[in-house]
Amino acid sequence: MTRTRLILLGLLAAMMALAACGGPAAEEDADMAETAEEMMDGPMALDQEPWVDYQFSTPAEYEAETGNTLPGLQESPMLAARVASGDLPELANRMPANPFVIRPPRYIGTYGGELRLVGFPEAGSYFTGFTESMQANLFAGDPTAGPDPNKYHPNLIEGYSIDDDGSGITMSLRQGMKWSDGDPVDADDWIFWFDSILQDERLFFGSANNYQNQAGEWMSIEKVDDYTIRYDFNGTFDKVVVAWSTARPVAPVHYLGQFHPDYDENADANAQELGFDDWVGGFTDKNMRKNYSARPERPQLNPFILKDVEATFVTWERNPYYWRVDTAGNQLPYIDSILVNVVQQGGDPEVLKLKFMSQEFDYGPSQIQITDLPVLRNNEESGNYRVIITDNLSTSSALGVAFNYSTQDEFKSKLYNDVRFRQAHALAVDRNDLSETIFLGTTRPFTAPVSEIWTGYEDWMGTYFAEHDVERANALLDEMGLEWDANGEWRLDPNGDPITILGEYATEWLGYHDEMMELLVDDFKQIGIRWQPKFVPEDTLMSRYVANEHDVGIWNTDGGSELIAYRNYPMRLIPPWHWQSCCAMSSYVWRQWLDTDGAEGIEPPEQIKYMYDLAFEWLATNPGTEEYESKINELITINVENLYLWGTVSAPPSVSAVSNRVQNIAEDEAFGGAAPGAYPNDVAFIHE
Amino acid sequence: MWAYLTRRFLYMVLLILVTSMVSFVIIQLPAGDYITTLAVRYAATGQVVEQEVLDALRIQFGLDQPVYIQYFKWFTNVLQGDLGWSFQQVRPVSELVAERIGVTALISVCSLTFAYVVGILIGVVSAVFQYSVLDYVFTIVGFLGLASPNFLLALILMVIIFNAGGAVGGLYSTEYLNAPWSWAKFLDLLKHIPLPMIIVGTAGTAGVARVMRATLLDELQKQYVVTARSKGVAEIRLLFKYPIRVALNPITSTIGWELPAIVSGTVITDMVLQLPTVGPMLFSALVAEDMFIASSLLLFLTSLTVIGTFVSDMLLFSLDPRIRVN
Repeated sequence: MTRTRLILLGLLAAMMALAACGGPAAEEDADMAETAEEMMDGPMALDQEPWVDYQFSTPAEYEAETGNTLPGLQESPMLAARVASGDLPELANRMPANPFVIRPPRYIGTYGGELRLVGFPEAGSYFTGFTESMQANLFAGDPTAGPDPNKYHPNLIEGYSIDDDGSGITMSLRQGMKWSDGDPVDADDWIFWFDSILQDERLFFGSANNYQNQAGEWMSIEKVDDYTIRYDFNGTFDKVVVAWSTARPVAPVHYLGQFHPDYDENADANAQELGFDDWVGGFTDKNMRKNYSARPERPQLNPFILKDVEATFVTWERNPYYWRVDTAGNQLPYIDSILVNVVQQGGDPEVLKLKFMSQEFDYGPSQIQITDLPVLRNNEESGNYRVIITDNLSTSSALGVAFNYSTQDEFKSKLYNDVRFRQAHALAVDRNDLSETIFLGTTRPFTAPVSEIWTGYEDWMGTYFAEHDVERANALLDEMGLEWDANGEWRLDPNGDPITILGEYATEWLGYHDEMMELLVDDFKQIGIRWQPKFVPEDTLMSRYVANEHDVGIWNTDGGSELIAYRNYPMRLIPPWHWQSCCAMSSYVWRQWLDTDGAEGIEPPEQIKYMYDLAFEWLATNPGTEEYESKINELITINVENLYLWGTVSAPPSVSAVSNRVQNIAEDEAFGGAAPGAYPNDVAFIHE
Repeated sequence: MWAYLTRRFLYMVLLILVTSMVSFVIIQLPAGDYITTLAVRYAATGQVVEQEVLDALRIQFGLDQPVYIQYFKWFTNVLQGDLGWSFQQVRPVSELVAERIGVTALISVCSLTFAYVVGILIGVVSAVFQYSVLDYVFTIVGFLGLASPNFLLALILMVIIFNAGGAVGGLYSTEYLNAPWSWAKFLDLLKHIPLPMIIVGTAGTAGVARVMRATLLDELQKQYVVTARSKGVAEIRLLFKYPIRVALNPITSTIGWELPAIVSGTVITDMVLQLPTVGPMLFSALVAEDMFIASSLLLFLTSLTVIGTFVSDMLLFSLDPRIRVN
């Protein structure tokens, strides 16, 4: 198809969009008398379904799959001006020969503008949800990408091939791709990361499991030529694409080398000059452990690069060497710069909401909750924004409960480890009341520890013991032989005191756990169990969890997506039913025993050992296979039937809001309710 | 004389040293450390939390070492003028404080000025027109001002101003955040300043007004006033020439107490208003156990107080012969 035809088609689509009083274009450009010429300057509407078959690793792939030709490259006027002034090389010299092609969701955007956000200066990442970009991952996933390697597109690289015998992967790099300072990205940068950073305990933080074979030996990397590298798995590694999809195993050796003694003999002196103790300090500071963009001077591959950091704001600017284009040949991103209002963590979120509603930011603050919905809706028109509501499918339950099965209290241990005790509690919860009172009726009863989009989830699981049946609950506890006191108010322990459970919780950032605990305590009163809700600061609670001192773990069951589970471990399905390093919900000592082969901790029952083994067997299977499905199904089933971690109501929908001046963002269910920014944000643009 | 001075000086140094130690330990008293806070924050945003990362960070921040070693390291650095790094922001503490201290002082000075000017005026009016309608109205408003928590006042005023289409929260509108200084930016700042100025100022205003009223009433009944009046001195001139000046004394003598407040700002109100001042930063550092920033700020504030006291000791010393003799 020729370019003219494309434009004509686009125009037609734009007119249809205008006529069909739907999109924001219709609202803002209501003036139908606009000339065609003017419209060509504006965003061009696309008529394909957003976020479906929209990523292409190379122009050739784009052309082969769509039959379209990628037009010549275009750049932002801002960069064009810099080229004209001799400040910057020509566009063709800044981009790889084969850029990554992405079809934007709704419009071919227009260049320019400043996006205004609000964020915290947390851990040096200036986290805004938007700038912490996933665009520069090794593989780009489709929105629905679970652990399915077929849904990942080579992103940082041009292509790859896995050896026939599965012993290695060969990757072809993008020739001509540049770091944000203009230096080429080549095999040396990849080898530098793999050999000098990953395998150095002083420089690499994090789990290296995905770069070692089953026996814990390192894989290796070799340079085939400047733009081809091969990893040897030192065995086989079937899930390489999924496991490495969010990796960024490359670092700018031309820059970081100055702080590494293998590459610069003055590494120590270079670091000391900047005020660090030694080269490790300098290297770590410049490389940053978690975020790849928090030091303006460190070259990177993201669409936006950090420019200025002040007390009240942080600015980001487009990366002139960014290596992705839209289907019209425009170098991305569309947006020229980002201004982040920096606010203190723990400050009052109400001010931020007010500021957003008076159009000072383009994205609503992250603290927006379902309970803010009425206020947000009321001001939607005057604030010129739209509210986006998406299902929160990575969280299975708004509040999950896991009794501490490894408690040292003999009587309580007997109670918690009796499934009837858990069943009675699950039955005592009036879930409709919870939903109506707290979540405006937007949630439904849900007890399973994983959400319904998981492989191996079956329909009965979510509502297992989810009905409100106090009579049956009491019958179960009677059967256990738990006697009532004389007034029929509480059930008694062997000492003749009411059974009392200290319900400690920390998750104040959710904003609804105080109210929820109050309602739950009333519910549990109906079955004669006295709960004492207590808010405990997170630090204290964490140490109590680890010390095995608590009665019950209470947390929203978030972070439990199947993909995260497959890349790490199914943390919601084995002890301690959350990340053990931060928020172990229950039975931390069991997990210790399992991880250390009995050297530390307390020995768990056989079933738990079986679940633990099952989880790791599942991790070794390949997605899509029968084994993959049956193993995870069995693990979920055991968890559900035993109510080890049982939920109350499903997680409330995520509510966010975005100014009408921002277009081309995910506003549908495609991204499973991920926070704004978890999707490709290089295609967002400002439409004034 | 020199012995006295030296003794006071040594006390001062010792006091600063002890306070810095005590505060350093107290900040670490709660279970866990900054890394625990960080881990929970990662978990809260649905991120993967790995034990290896946490351990490595602990080593990197030196949190794996005993408290006394951490203290010693920090304190020797402080003596060399290095206040350490903020874990949360991964930036030098001195930089962070420097960015905020100007704004904090600006707001504090504005609100103090507001408190004193309005408070003294109200005090004078209610003393001169004692038991008039005005006096009662001011008294009631004054007590309300004293009694109502500032942050509540802040929220209410914010909603009113928001509904009236005014600017709320922060000190600048987003459009001027990174703009160079200009007349427009200055006007924008002026638009944002009254809210914190009034809110932080009200409680002070009420206090000042009460003190002013009481002392002025005392003065007004004194014989020299009656005499002056009987000699026919004009009422206004009489008022401003003597009794008001005398009545100002107790207020002037307590102004010095406000000095640490000028630097620290007011925590809760500033948080509600999202002002980029020192107070909320200190608060957040304490909550997150961001050691060095919290310790350094506390050390700074204690030093100010202690030095202030030392200076007033010196002044007293030079003014009061009794101290010199003893």
